[in-house]
Amino acid sequence: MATGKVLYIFINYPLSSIHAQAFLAAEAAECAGQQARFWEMHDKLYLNQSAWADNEGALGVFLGYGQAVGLDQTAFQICLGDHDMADKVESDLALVKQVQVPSTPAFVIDGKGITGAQPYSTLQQAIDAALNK
Amino acid sequence: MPLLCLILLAACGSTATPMRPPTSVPRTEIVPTAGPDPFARPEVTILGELEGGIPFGVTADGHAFKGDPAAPVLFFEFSDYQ
Repeated sequence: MATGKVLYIFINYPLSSIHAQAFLAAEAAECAGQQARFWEMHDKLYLNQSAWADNEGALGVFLGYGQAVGLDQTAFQICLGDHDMADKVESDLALVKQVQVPSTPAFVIDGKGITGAQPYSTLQQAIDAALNK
Repeated sequence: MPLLCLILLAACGSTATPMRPPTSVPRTEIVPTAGPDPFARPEVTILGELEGGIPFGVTADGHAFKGDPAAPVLFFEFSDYQ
């Protein structure tokens, strides 16, 4: 991205059946996005998975992240507490169903799908192939 | 418009998570969909810049993005943060 060669687009695919807090995490990122802090929250969620993944108090954890990334806490708390972004996450899940993404993570690079936790080299090869078309 | 496709079980990815029951083998599936191509270059609204001057914002479909909207490679990730 820093070289201007890749446009990276994130689509929520919370696997709620096995990850109890995943949907709420997606909502937290989308609520942060309402304040133009999506990527800051995105990074917080990834870097601190163990703190919230199996935590029934994940809501409080996410509110703490909101404060840490500089969100308007009142607006963030309302957004998350009222599930204002739930429809957005559900919309992403509808896309997941439409294109039959089977699991996470999954990637579509230059129109070609790759699934599973791939090594960086695999993704790099796909990017290079797209650049060299 | 080309058919949309999502290549499942990329043959080169020995570490790929199986996406089908154990009877599945590496193969390519083409999943045609009706309507607009969800993996086409999106219209975007730039909201600012991240560290390093990387643009970020939201696509017309509401997805968060970062990177140059004119970048030659489109990279979509589906994830649940876990």
